[in-house]
Amino acid sequence: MPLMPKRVKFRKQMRGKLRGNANRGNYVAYGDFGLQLLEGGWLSARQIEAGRIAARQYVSREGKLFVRVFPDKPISKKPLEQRMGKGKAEAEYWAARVKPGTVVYEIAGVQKDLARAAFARVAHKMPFRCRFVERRHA
Amino acid sequence: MATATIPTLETQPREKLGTRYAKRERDAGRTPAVIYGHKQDPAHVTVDSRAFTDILHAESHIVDVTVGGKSEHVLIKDVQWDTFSRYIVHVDLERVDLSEEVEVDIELVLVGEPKALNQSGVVLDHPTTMVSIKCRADAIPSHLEHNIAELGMGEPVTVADLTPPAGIEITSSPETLICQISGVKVAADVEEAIEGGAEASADTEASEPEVIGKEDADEDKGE
Repeated sequence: MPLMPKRVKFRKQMRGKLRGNANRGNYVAYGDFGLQLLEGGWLSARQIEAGRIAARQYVSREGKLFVRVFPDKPISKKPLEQRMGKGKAEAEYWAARVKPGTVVYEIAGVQKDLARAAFARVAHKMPFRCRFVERRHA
Repeated sequence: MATATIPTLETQPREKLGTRYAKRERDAGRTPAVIYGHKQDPAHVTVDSRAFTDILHAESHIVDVTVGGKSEHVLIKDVQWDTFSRYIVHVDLERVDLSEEVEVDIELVLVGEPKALNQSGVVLDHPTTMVSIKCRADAIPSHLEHNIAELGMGEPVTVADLTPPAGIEITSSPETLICQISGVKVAADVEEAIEGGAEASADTEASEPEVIGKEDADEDKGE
């Protein structure tokens, strides 16, 4: 099952705007290290899942992985060769709205080198520029 | 562990307040700050960004600041960072007497390597890294240590298990979980990929979520 809400109030949503930086979810809260996005946009459920699998495969059975975003926005797309009009298309996939600064993944219980290498692989799966961050104690 | 020497910090008064003036101060290498407490008027000042960051890295909680030529002790109450944690946006400093009791959050450091952690597929779950303590302002430790060398699988360590040094009272809830060694849960598809060496795929069959109120609306139409 892909990541998506269990129940929704409306099947389709308007596109919306994404302005500014992340004022919440912008620091490492649960783990020791994290992957922070430097750009904003839609992160699809498939991309989130691909990143999670890449990290988990690299660290194998070590460490605890946290995914801090959830795809709760349905994205519509008209089929190929479809004439325009005739109403809004059905939802094609689900995406999370992420702003610059959002920490998408966190990991706990692994060495820094392993976390950095794992997140380097995850960064290749992300459609945005990312950076490796550590827990801030102050 | 206890604060050995109290660092000093020079301040400059802020004449103009507001976003644009604060931004100019940050660009000039000074961090906006406010000093309040002890039923005195708040003082809006700036501090040297680099000097203040050094104090934070030294895990000091009490600072000796000079405001208008007068020296006073303050507690670092709150530090606001920018979105990317690159620089400090603003600092809250509270006036304290060194003899008075204050409540602060300090870091909790786990020492020792539990034997249970040597197995594959286990992880040290460490949800709480800061604890609240109450003590005299001049006796605030930089951190608390707890030895977990004898910790076994599944045994929880809570705040109640901590033994603070004399003169320090822990105010966090005693039931708060600090750490526990637990097994790592790996999803079935990733487990297969780890064992078989095959690539796990993020492609999964899509289905639709339930629409709230849709069934009721359909029933009404049918009638």
